[in-house]
Amino acid sequence: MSVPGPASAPRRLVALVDCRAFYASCERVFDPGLAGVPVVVLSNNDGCIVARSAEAKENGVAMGVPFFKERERLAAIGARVFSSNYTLYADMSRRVMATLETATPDVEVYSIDEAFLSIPTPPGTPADAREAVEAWAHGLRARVLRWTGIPVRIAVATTKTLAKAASKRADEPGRAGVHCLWADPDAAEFLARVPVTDVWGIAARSASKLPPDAQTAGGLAALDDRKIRQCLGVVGLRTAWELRGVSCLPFERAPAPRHSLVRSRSFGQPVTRLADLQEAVATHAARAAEKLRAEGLAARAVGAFVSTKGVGDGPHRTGSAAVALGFATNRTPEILRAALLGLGRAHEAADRAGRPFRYRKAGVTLWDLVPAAPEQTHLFRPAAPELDALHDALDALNRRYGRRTVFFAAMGTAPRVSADRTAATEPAWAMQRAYASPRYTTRWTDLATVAA
Amino acid sequence: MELRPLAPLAITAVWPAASFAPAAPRPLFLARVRAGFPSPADDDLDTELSLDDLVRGTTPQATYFVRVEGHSMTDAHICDGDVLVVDRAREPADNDIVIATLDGEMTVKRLRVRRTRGETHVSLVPAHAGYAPIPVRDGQELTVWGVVTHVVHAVR
Repeated sequence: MSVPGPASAPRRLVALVDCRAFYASCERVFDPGLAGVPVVVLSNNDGCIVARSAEAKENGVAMGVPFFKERERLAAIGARVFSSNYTLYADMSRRVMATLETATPDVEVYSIDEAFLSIPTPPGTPADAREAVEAWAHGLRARVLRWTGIPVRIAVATTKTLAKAASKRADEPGRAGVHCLWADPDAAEFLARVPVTDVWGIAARSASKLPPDAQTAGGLAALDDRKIRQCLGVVGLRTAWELRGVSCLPFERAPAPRHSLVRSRSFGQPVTRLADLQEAVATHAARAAEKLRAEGLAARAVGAFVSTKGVGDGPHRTGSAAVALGFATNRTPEILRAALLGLGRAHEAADRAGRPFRYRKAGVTLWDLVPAAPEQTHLFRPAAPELDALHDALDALNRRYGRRTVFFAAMGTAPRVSADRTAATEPAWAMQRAYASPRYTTRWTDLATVAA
Repeated sequence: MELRPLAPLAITAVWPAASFAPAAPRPLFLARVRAGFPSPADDDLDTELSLDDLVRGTTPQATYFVRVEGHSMTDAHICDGDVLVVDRAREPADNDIVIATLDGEMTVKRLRVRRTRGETHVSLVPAHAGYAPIPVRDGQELTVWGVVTHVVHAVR
C-alpha cells in the first residue's frame, strides 16, 4: 500500500481545529449551571435540533430531528433547550479564531466552528517533531479553553483531508482531544479502518461506484489513479492524493470571492399580508446591500422569493422572480426597488380556488456579483457620488449605534426598540425564538450577572 | 518561523488591533475655542481618547464584561449594577478579585490561596463586613472563570 506518502518530512503541516458541540458550548460559557447538564440548541424558528452537548448525545438525542419529536426525551433527561443565538455564536467564533491567531498567523476560517492552521514542521527526527507538534497542540487547546471557555479538538496531518480524518482519532480515550497523524506509526492501519464515506468530500453516492477494496480511506489511496478518475472524476483523484499526503487543496487565508448572496429567514408564524412580506424582503435587501458594500462587491441582478414550504395545511407554492439591473450596484435604494419589483412578480395572494397562501419564508438573492470598483459607467444611470457618501454615513451609523438606527421606510416604520434601547418588539414576520439565551457579549442589557 | 510549544496560560501574544466591541470613543474637549482666535494647541491635537484603551489589555479576545448583582464587594469599590471587565487570559493569583463559579453560580470575590503544612486552602473572600468568607471544601468544585481587571461604576 502506498500509504503514508512521502518519506521526507514535509515543510509544513496542517492543523484542523474544531469546536466541540460549538453552539451548546457557547451557551455554557456564561451559565455554569449548565455544566454536566444535557444541552441542545434548536434551528431557526425552534424547528430542529442542530447542536447537542456530549451528555445529550449519550442520552440518545438525535441530530437534525424536529424538536417536537424529542421533546419528551429531552424533558426526561433534564435537558436544557435553547433557540439558536447566532449573535452569541458569531462573537464566540470570532474570539476562538482570534485566539488561534496568537499561535500562527496562517489561519483559514473554514466555518463558524472550524479552522485550518498552517504550521511549520518542527526540526528533528519525525518522532521528536511529532511529539513537539502534539505538545504545541495541547498548549493551544488549553489556551482556547481558558480564553473562550470553548473546548476544541486539534488534529494535525500533512493535508487537509488527512487532518479531517485524524480529527476522529483525537476523540479516542487517552488523547485528550489532540492527535498528530503525521509520523504516527499507526497511520496506515488507522486509514485502513476509516470508511471511505467518512472521508472529507466523498459522498455515499460516489462511494458506491468504488470497487470493494477501495471502501476505506487507505483502500482509496492505494487505488490506481486511472481507476479513481474513472469512478470519481478529478475531484475524487484530488481527494486520493490528499490521502497519500500530497497537498492538493490550497491553504486559503481569505475566503474565495462569492458569486451570489442569499439572505432569507423563515417566519415565526405564517404571513399572508403582502405588506408584511414587503417589509421582510426590504429588510433582507437592505442587509444584503450592506453586506455587498462591506465586501466591496456589486450585483447585476436581484431576485426575490417567497415560499409556503414547511408545516401547515393549505395550498403550497414557491414563487421567485429575478430582476436584471443592466448595471452593477450595491446602493440600497436600487437593490430595494429591484427586490420589491421581484417580490411583486413572485407573490400571489391566493390560489385559483381563492384559498390564501400562508407564507413561511421570504428572501432575497443577489446574482452576478462583481467587484464594486472600478465602476462601469452606464448611459442611463448617472454617477451619484452623493449616494455613495450617504451609504458610508448610513453604514457607519448602523455599525456604531446598532442595526436600524437609520433605515429605509420600506423596511417597516413601526418602532422596534424602546426609547431607552432596553426592550425590543419584533415584527409579525420575525423568527420564533422561545428559548433564546441572552446576547451576553454584544448587548449591554444582556451581560451575564455575577453575584456579589 | 519556528514552532515552539505554547505555555498554556502564558501571554506572549503580540496582538493586532482586533475589534473590541462595543467601541465607545469619547471626544475629549480641552478648551473652548473662541472664534477668530486660533488655539495655539491646534497643532498638538491627538486623536480622541477611547475608554477601550484603558481596559483593553493585550488580549481583547479573552476580555468579557459582566454585571454585578449584590453588595458583598462594596469595600473593594465594586457595587450593585457595576460592569466588570474580566480577563480570562490572566492567570489568577492570590489576592486577585476573580469571577468564580461555585455550585453552578458565578460570583465575584477576592481569591485567597493559603498553603499550610503542604496543604492548599482556597477561599473566596467578600469585601464587606456583613458577609463571611466562603471556604472551598473538599468535593466542591471551584473554577476561576476570569480575573477582574477594571470596574465601570456610574457616579450618579
